[in-house]
Formats: sequence, C-alpha cells, structure tokens
Amino acid sequence: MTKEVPAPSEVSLRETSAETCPKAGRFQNAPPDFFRVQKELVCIICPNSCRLTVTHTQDGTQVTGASCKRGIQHGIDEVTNPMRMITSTVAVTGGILPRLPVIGSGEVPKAKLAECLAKIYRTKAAAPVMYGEVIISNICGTGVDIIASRPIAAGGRT
Amino acid sequence: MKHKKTDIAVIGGGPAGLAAALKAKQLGIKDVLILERDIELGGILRQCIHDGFGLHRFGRRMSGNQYAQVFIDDAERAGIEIKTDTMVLEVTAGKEIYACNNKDGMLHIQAGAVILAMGCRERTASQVLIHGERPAGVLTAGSVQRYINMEGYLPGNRAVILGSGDIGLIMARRMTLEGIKVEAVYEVMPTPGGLSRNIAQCLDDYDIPLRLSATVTQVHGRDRVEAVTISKVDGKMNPIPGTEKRVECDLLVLAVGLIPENELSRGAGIEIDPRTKGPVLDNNFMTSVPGIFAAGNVAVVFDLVDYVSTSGEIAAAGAVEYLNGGLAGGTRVPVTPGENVGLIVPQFARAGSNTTFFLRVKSPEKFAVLQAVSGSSGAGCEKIIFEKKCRYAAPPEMITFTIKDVPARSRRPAPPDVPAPPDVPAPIKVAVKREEARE
Repeated sequence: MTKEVPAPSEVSLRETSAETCPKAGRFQNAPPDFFRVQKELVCIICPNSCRLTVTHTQDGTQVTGASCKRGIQHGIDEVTNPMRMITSTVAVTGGILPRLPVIGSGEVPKAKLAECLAKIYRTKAAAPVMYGEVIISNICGTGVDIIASRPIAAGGRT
Repeated sequence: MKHKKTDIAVIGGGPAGLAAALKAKQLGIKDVLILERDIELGGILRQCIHDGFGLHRFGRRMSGNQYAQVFIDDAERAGIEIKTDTMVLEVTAGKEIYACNNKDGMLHIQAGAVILAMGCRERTASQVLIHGERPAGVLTAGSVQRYINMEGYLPGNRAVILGSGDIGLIMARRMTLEGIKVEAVYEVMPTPGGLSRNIAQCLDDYDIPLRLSATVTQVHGRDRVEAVTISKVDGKMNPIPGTEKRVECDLLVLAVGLIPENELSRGAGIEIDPRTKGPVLDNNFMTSVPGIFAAGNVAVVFDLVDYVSTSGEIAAAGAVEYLNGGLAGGTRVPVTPGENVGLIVPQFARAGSNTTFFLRVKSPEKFAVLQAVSGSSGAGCEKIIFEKKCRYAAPPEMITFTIKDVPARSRRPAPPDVPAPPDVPAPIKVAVKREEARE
C-alpha cells in the first residue's frame, strides 16, 4: 500500500491551532471541547461493518467501536484523508471480450477518484492481456498502479 | 453418443465447483472433471469487478476476477479435466450425466460421485409481481452488471433500483461511476437487505437515497421504460393507496433475491429444503441421493465467496470419502432452526462427526449468542452442546461455526422423577438469542 497518513494529532492541531488559523483569535476564550468533532461511521474494511465513533479533538483522534487495527486506521483516515479502492474496466481490442476489468494496486484518495476514473475511461488496451499486467502506472500521481484483474486472450469478438 | 467414465464429476465451474475439484484432486483422486456451460471458468465472479472478495481466505481485498483467477490457475496446473461451453442436460440418481457441446456432441458420463455446483439465479420481474407494460429497460441487477462490466454496454441513463441487497447496492455505485443517474434504491422491507458497509461505501459515498418500506407498483412506457410508480407499503408489505409517486427513469434494476438453481437436482430425485431452496444436506454436503453432493449457491445462497469455496471443499472431502467407501452408516441427527434462525445448512449431521454449519438469522440482533441444544425424547434432558457469541448478527451476514463430535442425543441424565429416555437420536436445535446479561 502506498498511502501516507499524517499522524492524527498533527492534523487536528494544524487545522485548529491559533498559530496557523488567521481567524483563531476569536476562539481564544472557547471552552476546552470547542474543537471537538464527533463522527459516526460504518467501517467498510470488511463485512463485519463495525459502527465506529471517531472523536477528533485538540489532543488527537480517537476511534471507538472498531474490532481490529485496520478499522481504527480507517476511522482516522475517514476524517483526515479518506481513501478508496478503484475498480473499473478499460476497453480492450482484439480480445475474447470487449472490456478488461482493472483494480488499483492500492487505495487512492477519495478526492482523486473522479480524476482517476476519467483517466481509466480514456485508456485502451490490446489483447492479449496478462493477469496482473500494469495498464496505467502511477495513475494521476497517486503512486497507485492500475492492473488487469484477469487475463484476456486474443481472438473471437472485438 | 460418446461415453466417458470419471471418478468425480463437478457440474459448474464457478467458485464452488473450482474449490471442490481442486480439493478432490489434492485428496488424491485421479479423474476429476468440471463441466461448465460458459465459454470459460469463473462463474459469476467474472462479472464481479469490484473488490472485497477473499478477506477470510487470502487476508486481502481482491476483486471477484482476481479471486477466481487464483483457483482457475490452480485448476489448470492440477490437471483437472475441464469441459467449457458444455451444457449438462440431466443427472440421474445413478450418477450418470448427460451433457452436450459442439466438440463432443452428446456425452454420457458415468461418475463415481457427482458434485452439484450450478449456483443460483436472480428473481425476475414476474416473480415479484410488478404489473403494467412490458417495455425494454427492466433488467435484473446481474444482467446490468454483465452488460456494463463484460459486454461494454450502458443499459440506460436514469435508473431506479428495487431491492437493497448487496447486489443492488453494488450496482448503484457501479452505475453511478459509469455515468448512469441512480434516482434511488427502494426496499420493500423496513430494514436494508445488504451489509452496512455497502450502504456506506456504495450509497452514502455517492449521495444515493435509500427508501425503505417502499416498492415499485407499476412500470410505465410501451417500448422503453419511461417511469415507474413507487408506493409506500404497510407493515404487511401491502402498498398504501394514496402514496403513489411517479419517478421518471429509463431503467428499472431488480435486485430482489437469488434462488438456487436446482432443476438438475430435482431431475435426479434429490430432496429439496423449502427454507434454503437447495438440497437437504448432511455434514459432508451430501444430498438425499448417496454419492451426489452439493456446494455453493446451489445448496444455499451464501453472501461471501470465501464460504462458497469452503462448502466446495467440504463436499469434495465427502465425495472422496464416499468413493473410498467411508460414508456408509453413522446415525443421522437432524439439525433444525430455532428462535431467530431463518435457515441452517447442513440439515443433518452424522453422530461423532465434526460438522461446519452455515446459518442465517431472521432479524438483526446486537450482542447475540448462538446456542445449539441437543435434544432428547425425555423431558428436561436437553443440553447446550455449543455456544458462540456474535457481536452483531444480521440477516445479510451468514454465521458459520463448527460443532465437534456431534452427539446423537443429549446425554444429560433425566431428572429423578422422570424415566430415563430411550437411546434414540434427537434433533439439535440452533437458536440465536440476545445475550442474557445484556437484556
């Protein structure tokens, strides 16, 4: 996986501290839990669908309700840098099928999903395609490769 | 007609059939034959381009195609005989198979054991009583998935989805990403049918509304769908007059359930369970006809492909034991669904066996406890033989568990004033209840 997640405490402080926020002066007399953000999420890591509660405060981000480490990381990611797996298809010519299913080698930032998909839709592959072949490398600068999730033999339909 | 003999014939080359054939080969069976009606192996996984497969088995998120490829590569390496583009027409109780394809013509295959792995089919519009015109643009979710993911067609521009099972939710996201506007997902039940994670990542991520307790009551349009009428439903799922609303769309996607495909099984005289709509099975996933086994969605509709593969391996291990003459005898103990259990497979377990069960609850329960109670013909002799805590039990998520050394009946002594019960097998009842401490 090629993702970088900023440490949770860093993010909450950077976003809300008086040093970086030009309008922070008006919050000087704010009560201690003024910056507290609480979010209820459903974890999408596995079918357990854990109900997560993510609490974001000046002291850091806390995740409760997760039953594994990956769930805790997902909770932090969702409020700091949400990531999603890309799966789609690209056109393929000269193969037994007209579409080639593809998947990312890792997750991409949710905000870049549309840009990545547009790139995938503009791409054409030619059969034969091998299983795991890189179709687009480092898509939109995310560091993620788009790879073939099945082989497509040449021949038959186009 | 060509005649052929094989040790184990597997009908269907999807995830269940592939896992079964591989397991049989690993257990030392020489001749294993897969009969597949599509032009290639993989079954429905070929159109499942989304990820989330293989978390249990491989510990990573794979797309359906990637999951299938692992098994297809293994099957080809293992020297399993594969006949694709081959339609099985009939299976007899004597384990004879009649099939046909363009190369061999008609085929008659005598198998030592048969593993049924035909999968399931989607419910269609006529099965959910949608009235009105019959225009183009009413499709099942699986057909839409195949059109988009494999054939490269977009079957519409504005879609309404009926049914909030996982297939409906996944297609809502898929269609949105392909530029089809999904108006909403309607669900006749008061609770969503699919996994919560799929509602989060397929609907919430793309702001697609989910409307519960509502259904499609009419389809408009003569040649092409122009709109559908949506009605709210009452507690008995009857449409409430006066709540009708017209929603413009050119595509109605039906994701209204799956039914095991058992035409061949019925033809062989195999007993079918009305709950699972699949064959009645024992702990080896053997059907009521000795030597014929069932695996995957033909046995019961699973929600995770990982469990489908597991069921294929159970059936294969059973088939190998059957060929080696090890399956004769043993007391058959019935296993019946108790409180809040919609269905359970297998329906019988042999006394003394270690049996893996797959169960679906009827309604969601937090902090639930699953209990298997061994019965007895004597009053007060029931005994809990297995317990498992489930943090969250819900109908879309199957629960699996293994009972070791299944007892023929409870061995708990009768109370002093009651005569000791006779030593006859008694059913095991499985229930999912709320944990007592949490009430």
